[in-house]
Amino acid sequence: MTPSVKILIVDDHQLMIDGIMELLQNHGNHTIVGTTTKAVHVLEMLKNTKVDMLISDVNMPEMKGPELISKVKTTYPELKVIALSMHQEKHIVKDVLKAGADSYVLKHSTQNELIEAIEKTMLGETFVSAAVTKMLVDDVKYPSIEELLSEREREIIKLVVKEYTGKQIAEELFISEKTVETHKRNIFRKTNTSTLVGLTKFAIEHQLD
Amino acid sequence: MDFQSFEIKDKISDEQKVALYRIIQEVVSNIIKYAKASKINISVTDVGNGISLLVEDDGDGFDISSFKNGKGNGWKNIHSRLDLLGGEIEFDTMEGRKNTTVIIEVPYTKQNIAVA
Repeated sequence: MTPSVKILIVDDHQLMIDGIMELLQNHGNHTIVGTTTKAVHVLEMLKNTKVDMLISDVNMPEMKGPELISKVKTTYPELKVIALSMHQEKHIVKDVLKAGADSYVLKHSTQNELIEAIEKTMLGETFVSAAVTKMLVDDVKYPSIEELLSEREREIIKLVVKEYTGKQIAEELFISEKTVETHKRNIFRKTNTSTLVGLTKFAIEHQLD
Repeated sequence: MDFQSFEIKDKISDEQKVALYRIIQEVVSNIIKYAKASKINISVTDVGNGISLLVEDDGDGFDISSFKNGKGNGWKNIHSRLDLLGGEIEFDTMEGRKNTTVIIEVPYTKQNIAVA
């Protein structure tokens, strides 16, 4: 029998930790060797305990997931890290993966996904939740914001989101109101939106706000 | 100089492409000659029934009527090619103001302006 995987869990919500422990108790060959709600305690715990895998939340108050993961991976490159997050925004996923996470699992995914993630990650593979994979593939398939929108169009979106009128935008950017309207029409077309709400949502998703 | 294009692909003929290319060339060469711009942005967007082409620069604005009535062939070249495409052009510029936008709208179906 292969030795059980020694897991450390960090999440600022105790309820989440309890849920993960409950889930793992009945599945597979794992031992939870430690849990903490404080990201800043993780490095200290790793010094004193032999750990094979860290399951880490991404959005934590004292230290964000990417920073923690990067620090952990620098000191313990062999230690496997699964990021367990409620976020599937592109920039967050990218930051986490760049920081060195081996796998990325969404909190709202099925129980099986986490168990599969643990198994695959221990084999040296990468597991990414299906919804995140789709987002990453779309990101490769479709143009980036910089390729899609000109600098001026991005400026205009920012001002539209701030509820500037066409006239105010024109004054701010030293262009005519008519040109602003042309830009707006092109922006709606390019972002596949037709209302201010839709455009605002687009802006937030793409960090243009 | 930056360039974006959105969903154009094969919606326009080679003839239209060449005409648009010449127009852009004319506009850009005017910017380089006169505007003292540090940035030029060209974007081509499919707007459903045609193309919206924008050439923006951050240089000095100019007086439109003196450009249209000028001695050079710039305006004549642009105008005749636009006629061919059934397109329209608009200049958002002002003497003494920075930032010029040239907006060119070209329908996908060529219109016969001579008849109209």
